[in-house]
Amino acid sequence: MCTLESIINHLAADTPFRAALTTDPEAALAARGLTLTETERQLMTRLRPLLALPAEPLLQRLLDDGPDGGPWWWASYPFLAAYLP
Amino acid sequence: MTPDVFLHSVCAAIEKVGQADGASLPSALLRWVTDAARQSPFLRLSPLTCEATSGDPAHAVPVAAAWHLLHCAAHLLDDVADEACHSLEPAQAVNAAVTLIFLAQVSLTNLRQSQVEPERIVALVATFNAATTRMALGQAADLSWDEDAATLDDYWRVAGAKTGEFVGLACRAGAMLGTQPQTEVDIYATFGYHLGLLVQLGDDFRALWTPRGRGDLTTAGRTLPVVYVLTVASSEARTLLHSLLHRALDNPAALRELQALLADQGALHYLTLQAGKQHRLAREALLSSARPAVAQHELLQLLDAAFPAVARERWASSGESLDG
Repeated sequence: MCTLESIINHLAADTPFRAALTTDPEAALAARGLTLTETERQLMTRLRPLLALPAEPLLQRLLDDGPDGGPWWWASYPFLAAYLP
Repeated sequence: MTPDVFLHSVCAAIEKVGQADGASLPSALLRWVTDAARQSPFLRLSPLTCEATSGDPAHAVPVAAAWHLLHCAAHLLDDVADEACHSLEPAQAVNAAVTLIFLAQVSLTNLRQSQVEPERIVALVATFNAATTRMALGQAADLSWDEDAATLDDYWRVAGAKTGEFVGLACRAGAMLGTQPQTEVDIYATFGYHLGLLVQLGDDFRALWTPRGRGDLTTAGRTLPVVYVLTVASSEARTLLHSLLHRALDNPAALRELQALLADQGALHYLTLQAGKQHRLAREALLSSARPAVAQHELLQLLDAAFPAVARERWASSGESLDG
């Protein structure tokens, strides 16, 4: 399992880690022996407001940003059967 | 060329190739293809990457038409593979898909009428064929998908070969109309590749948490959240997940249990993290181009709209705004 997956594992199962990640991410990661590359660190920093959420509020945030709005959440293909005689 | 005019031109180009040489595409199929074009967000990509590289977006009309014909063909073939082909007999669907694939080639050769150099047209045909070959190989890997043995590497390999390559093709082809240097064309192809993966992650999320029906759930075992949990969970959780995947098809309570299990195991967090990664890779690729332009800005807006939650975090943390 790579470091990012280990972090996600901790986020899912380890409530103190989730809280620590919000207040002092460097210390939280170091305490569990998780070392990030600079790129991974930047990614974690940017997404920390989302990643520090428990599953239910995170789901709500993702749902609030979709799934039926915006150009990419299109209604998929028209139903071909509707065009056939 | 406004988006509406472009779209109208693409539909006209499709109708033209669909009725060329006295071999008309069945009108029902033609109407389905053009109606799908009117809904497709992907058709903005080729004209925008063409414009971003100083090309004439009008030249992107036959390219976007060709790309869309291929997309429709892939849709039909996917339905056959997933045994979800309810509109046509499988043999009819395969035949229709083959027809659309060759009409895409016809559409590309129509670039001659736009005074595009023959060498560039040949290069575009070769690019389409190479990408289609990679997508077909990705589909082959998808068809042999083993839910018990699939790894996250398998997921990225298949998603990259299918969705990443396909969206990358739309962007690469548009850029090829505007610029020659391979390094610059590659920038837009890379942007499209990661945009495609981001769109795929959005589709995976929707398929599991807001499925439109049984069809979305039949391939749930190949979505990133499920593959992630099958990779990291205990054997008990994996056994339960397999069971729920099958029961959720027809059982709303089992679907809710499946969603809860995935969320508890961190699948939503992993999906968010990977979406953030793909967003960053696409954005960095686009910004590495030395061509600040209105089209570039529109491409960034399309990227941000592909998975708004992760884009929004960027705006919140760095003070950037959608219009900034």
